This record gives sequence, C-alpha cells and structure tokens, in this order.
Amino acid sequence: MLTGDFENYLLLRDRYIKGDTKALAILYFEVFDSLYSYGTKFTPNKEIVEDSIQNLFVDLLGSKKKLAKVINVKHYIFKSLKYLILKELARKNHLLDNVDLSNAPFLVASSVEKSIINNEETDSKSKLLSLVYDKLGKKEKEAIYLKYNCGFNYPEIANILQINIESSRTLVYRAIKKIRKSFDTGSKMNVVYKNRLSGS
Amino acid sequence: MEDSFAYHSIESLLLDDDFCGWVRGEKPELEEYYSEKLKQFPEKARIVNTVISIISTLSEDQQKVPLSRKIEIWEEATKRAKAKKRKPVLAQFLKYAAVFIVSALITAVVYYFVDYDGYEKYMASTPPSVTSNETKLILGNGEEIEILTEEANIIYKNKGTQVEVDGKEKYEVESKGKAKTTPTYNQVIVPYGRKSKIILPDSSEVWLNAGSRLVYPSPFEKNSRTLFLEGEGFFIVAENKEKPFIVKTNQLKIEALGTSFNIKAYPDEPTEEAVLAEGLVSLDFRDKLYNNNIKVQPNQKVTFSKLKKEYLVQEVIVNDYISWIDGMFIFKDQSMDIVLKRVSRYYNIEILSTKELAMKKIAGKLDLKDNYIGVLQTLALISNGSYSEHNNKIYFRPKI
Repeated sequence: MLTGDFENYLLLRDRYIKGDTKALAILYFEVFDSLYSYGTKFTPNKEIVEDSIQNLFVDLLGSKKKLAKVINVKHYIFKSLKYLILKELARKNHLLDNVDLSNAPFLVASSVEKSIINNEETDSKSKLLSLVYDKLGKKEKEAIYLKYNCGFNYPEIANILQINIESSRTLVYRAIKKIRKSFDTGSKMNVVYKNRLSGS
Repeated sequence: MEDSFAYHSIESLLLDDDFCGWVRGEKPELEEYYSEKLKQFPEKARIVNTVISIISTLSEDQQKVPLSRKIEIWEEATKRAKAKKRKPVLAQFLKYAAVFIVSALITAVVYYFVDYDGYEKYMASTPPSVTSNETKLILGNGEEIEILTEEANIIYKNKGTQVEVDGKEKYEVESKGKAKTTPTYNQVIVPYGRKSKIILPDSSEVWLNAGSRLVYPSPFEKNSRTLFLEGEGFFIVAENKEKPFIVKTNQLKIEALGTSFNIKAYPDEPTEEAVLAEGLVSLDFRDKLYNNNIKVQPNQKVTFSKLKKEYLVQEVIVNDYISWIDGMFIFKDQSMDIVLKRVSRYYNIEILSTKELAMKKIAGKLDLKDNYIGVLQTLALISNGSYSEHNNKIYFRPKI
C-alpha cells in the first residue's frame, strides 16, 4: 500500500543523486497518492495541491545538492508540500503573514465525505472516520493523520507541526483517548447499521 | 520477569510505534514477536483486533489520482526543471554579479556622500528599539536605566551633568574625572507601545513617539546642539543663537534656532517628514547628491521619499501631525497601510491586512487613549473593512 518506507525513499534518493534519473520518478509515483491526500487536507482546491506537488518536484529535480543534504526524505517532502500549499493559499488571500506551519486548517472529515464511493463497506468506514475526526481539534487531526496515515514518528510530527516533541506525544495521546471513545460509539452504530441491512 | 504486553490497553497499543508499524506491515522483523505474544496472551485478542480495526480505519483515507494525471504532472515538472536548468549558469552569474556591483556601489556612494559621523557609529553599536519592551535611557558612562512607566519623563539638570527620571531618581551622566576627548552619547530608546518626554540640557523639550530612538551628547558640544533621531519626535527648541539646534535623521538634517517642529523618520516607512509649527528651520538632505537647502515656513510639511530621493513641500494643518503627543492620531488621505503601521507601533500589536485594504486611502481621527479594541473598531468602520483577532495578531479584511 501507500505508506512510506523511509529506507526505500532514502535508497531512491541516493540512486538519483548518483545519476539514476529514474529513481526520482519511482519515488514520485510511489509517494504521490499519499502526498496528494495529505495536501487536500489544507485546501479543497485540487489544482493548488497538484501545482504544489509539481513545484515541489521541479525543485527536487533542479537541485541534487539540496536533496543530498536531506536526512529524512519522506519527512522533507511532506513538510515542503505543506509549506508550499500554505504559501500559495496565503498568496491567494493577500495575507501579509508568514507561513505558519503550526496553525494550518486540517480538513479531514469533509474530504472523506466527498470521496465516498458507492460501496456499503467503504461508506460505513467513511462515516466512522468522519465521526472519529469530528471530535478532534485541527492539530490533533493533523498529528493523527501524520501518525496513522503517513506513518511518521513523534519527532517528525513535532517538526511538521512546529511544536516540541513532548507536545506531539501529548497531542497524539489526547487524540487517541477521544478516538477510542468515538470508536466505541461508532462501532456500535456500525453494528446496528449492518444488522438493519441484513434484516431487510 | 513480567511481560509488559499483558498490561497493554487499546490506548497504549495505539501509542506503541512498534505495534502500529507491525499492523501497518512496515515492520516484518516483528512478525514473529507479535504472533508469539498473541499466542501467549489470548485474552488480549479482542483489544488487538480493535486496535487493528482502528488503525485500518484511520489509514483508509486515501485519495486516488488517475495514473494518467500523475504522468501529466510529472512530465510537466521535468520539462520545467530542464528549462530552469538550461538558462542559468551565465545568467545566474550575471544576476549575482550585478547585484553585487550595485550594492557595492550604493554602499560606496552612501559612504562618500553622506556625512557619516559618530552618531551612526554609536547607533550601530547599540541594539534597536524594538528588541526591548521597556523605555531605556543609556547614559554617557554606559549605565542603562530601564523606565517602566508608559510615558517616561526624563529631565537633564545642572547643565546636563545630572538626569532625573520620572521626578524621582537622579543619575550622574558621566563618570567623574574622565578626560573629555570625544563627546559621549546619551540615548533614549522608546519601544512600541510607549512614549517619552525629555528636557534636554539646554532646556529644549522633546516628545518621542513609540518605536523611536534619540541620541545626543550631554552636555552638548561647544558650538552646536546636534541630535540624531530615528522614529518620530516633536521638538520645542530653546533659543540660543550661538549654538544651532540640529536634528539629523537617516535622510534629513534640520537646523533650527528657536522654534518647534515635528520629524518623522521611521526606518520601515518609505518617507521621512518634517513639519514646522513655529519659527523657521532650514532643512537639508544628508545625501550630498541631493543637497538642497530648503527654508521651511510654519505650517509647511516637507516629505522626502527615500526611494525616489524626491521631496515635496505642502501646506498642512500642524495639529494633525503633532496630535500624537496628546494621544490623538489624525490623518487625511493617508493609506490604510501607514495608519495600521502607526497603530501597531503605538499599541505594540501585530496587524496584518489584505493588500486591497492596505492600499485604500482613508481619513479620520483616532483617540489613542482608547484601548486598542476601540481604535480597531473605528478603523474598520472608516475603511469599510472588518477585523478579527487570532493568535495575538489582528487581521484586516474588506467587508464581505
């Protein structure tokens, strides 16, 4: 599936720096969906997300030197995308503000609803997911998303959210307590829903 | 030894990076370990299943983009990267070279044409006003006095050898017995959100507005009373025909005998301004390229554009420019952006605005003695905008 195999990304990066131009393309296709999904959490405008991914890779293609210095490729790519999208959004709103990574909107639940496919199982899962995310604050949402959807660890989450590592742990911990609660009610709801289906 | 696995709850498993990694299939090396644990603690199966279903629900949210679109984006990226690469080398070199030459030139010009003196050197050696939250008085002997009042009152006494702060403490301006070769400077630094009034050794009076610095020797030099101002100040000059009173700013030099005038010279504003209330001053630009001795009459304002190096003389209502002393801020045909800058300085709050609103010309009167909420409300009304507060920042937007 999607998720980042960090070492894999590092290997691809190294191959690319040593002159294997295909390696970056492989990395691009591998990371795209996951990166794209993350991007759509900051704006419903898909064009901005696509353009920002393109800009990000134009940048990576342009400077092997910069990429060579990056220690954690996956983390670098995700953080850069977030930065590029927020910058573009600020530009569109004529905000004179600097990009503030620690205070971004995170639109999980709404984008989930849009992606509902006509399939009962996915449907109920999406409903459950919205239910779970609805109870969380925007930072909690992003932290949970980064941890369970993208597979980032606490120091990486802390860096992307521009908070300290201890806060990222607390954030995830608080969110997990809430998730557990809504998951309990959610799965009960789920069961009722399924029973009704089989009953009719 | 007891096994910690036995004590796992749903929460603690969700927080366990190893366990989550294993569920997500990222840690095949733990496969054996966890299947062993599950056999060993069958009563944990329910919890483990719940955790697995939570993790799989949380990682379900994945947008799929068609492969054809991904390929389009990639091809466009490689095209753009190539186009970017081809140009540079020479072009980029030339760009940097040009910047270097121009900036070197400007530096050289500035050093050649502006009569840099001890003031600039002294200013450069002390920290800028915005870094502290308290008004500061720095004496010739290096002593730094922090003044906690909103409006500091600084009075020089005994021909400038002593200074009194807020009518209480007295300080010796210079260390005793030191031979005087070069003048030693005193400095008043007024941070954002504060004001200050100073009575100088010659009993001239100065009001300093928020975010300003004033540098001067005490006692004054033998044949002139020269000061350096960054920011905004209103001066009432005590008459002394033998010793002209000279205020230098980054761009201007204003010479007066006995008179009162206001100078505004903030580093972050595009112009410097002098407004004469009474008497007569002669104004000159410090850059010798633009030497132009202007005699300013009462009720005249001289505005000097730092970028265009042009000046403009206008008849004005003086009160509009000095009302800040009484906590009033009057502006006519002023761009919103400048007004916001001044309000932000006065209250020491960060204000951001959309470009559209920032360009708008507005007129009005603000009572700065109000708390800032009242002032922001008035500003929103005048500019037909609205504001919101978020993370200690104020955002102005056009009304929807």
